[in-house]
Amino acid sequence: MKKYFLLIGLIFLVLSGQRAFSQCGETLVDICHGRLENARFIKSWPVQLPARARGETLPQVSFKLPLTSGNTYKIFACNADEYPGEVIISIRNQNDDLVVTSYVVEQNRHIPVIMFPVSMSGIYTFSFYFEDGREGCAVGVVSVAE
Amino acid sequence: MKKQIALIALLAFALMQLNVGCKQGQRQEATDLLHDTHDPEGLKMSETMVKEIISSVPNPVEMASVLQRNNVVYSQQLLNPSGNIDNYNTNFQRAINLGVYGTDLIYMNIYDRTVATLRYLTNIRELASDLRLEQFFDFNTLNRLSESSKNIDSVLFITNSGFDKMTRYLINQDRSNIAVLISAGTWIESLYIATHAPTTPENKELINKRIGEQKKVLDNLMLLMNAYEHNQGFDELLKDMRNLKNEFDQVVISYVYAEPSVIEQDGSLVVVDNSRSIVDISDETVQRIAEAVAQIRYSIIE
Repeated sequence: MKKYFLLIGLIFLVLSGQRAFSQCGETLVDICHGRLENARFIKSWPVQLPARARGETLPQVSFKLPLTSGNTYKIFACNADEYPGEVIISIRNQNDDLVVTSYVVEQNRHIPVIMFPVSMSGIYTFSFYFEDGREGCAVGVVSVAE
Repeated sequence: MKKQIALIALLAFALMQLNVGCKQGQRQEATDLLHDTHDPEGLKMSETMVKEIISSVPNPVEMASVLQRNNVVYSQQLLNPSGNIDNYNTNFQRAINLGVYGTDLIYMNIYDRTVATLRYLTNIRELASDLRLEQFFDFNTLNRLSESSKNIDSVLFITNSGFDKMTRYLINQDRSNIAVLISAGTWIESLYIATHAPTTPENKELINKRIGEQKKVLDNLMLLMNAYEHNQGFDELLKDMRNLKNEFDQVVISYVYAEPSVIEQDGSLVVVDNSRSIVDISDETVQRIAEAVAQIRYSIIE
């Protein structure tokens, strides 16, 4: 009988441990909060994408957000530790011109924060995908710098 | 002994349930059935589009930040009086005024008016609870943090991220009509504050331009609300918003696109945005927008 209790206890510990260390989803928004510093939170997007399948295009997801002229936006993302993918953010204006991306291809490196002093109010498109099409989970955060 | 423990546990559980029931019963039950009458079949828009358009309604932090940064003086008189909550007996009123009070709370926090926020926090808790949405706000932490102006950024984060998570939840739960009303409430209150806040000759032109830029937002919001016009209360609100749109039609916005440049500074990428928007709006148009939005807001909050 004791063995059963031990087994059930062990299963419970493993399951609760998994939950405690799982960052993916809304939990990641709260974890990522520390990187706001003095900026004021505006919007977050939890993003979870599968690995790119052979012959398929890069999985990505896009969201629209209005940005106001005169505000400087601090934009960043946090990756969930339990997934291999590192997220890349790209921002396009309402003319669909690429404004900026968080990955510098020539140097093969990610930039942790984008500062965007907006001079053209409008709806901007924020796209998220993972480097080399790896499976990933992240949260993108947009805030207004003071 | 085991039986006694089980009996005590059962009794404690029953008492807890009774307590919850009593708390919920303190406010009047909704006199409409808004959250139950949403009919996804009748919706003229996909849920993806709903998500996208709701996302295009600016966060109240944006306008409040613009006002504060440009030295527009804070005015407590602009807020929806906290006592008005007793008037809100339908889910339609509760949802839209949850957005209104949320915007007021953000406005107060951005201007460091932490002392007055407690009553607004209580109102948000009550309205959220009436709509079965209280799980998105950690009210104990918010109450504690609101005691000091040092915690404003944390209060703003908890409030704003709460609204953000709540909107996602509502859309996923097929209660997007509630999400639309909350968004409409936040936008109307933001616009009301911006159009009625006391400006000076130095900041008036800039604030007027920011008001004019709301033309695009109104177009999107109306597109969204049209999809719910068969829902109770939406038709009246839409009628008033059409009047507001007539005034916004006098605003002309043009865009000059230019290639942006990017520089790296202290480990961050800084975008140099060379594009700009030009907003043509007269003082008379701003005045008429102010009157139209005041009328809508009055019908919402009273």
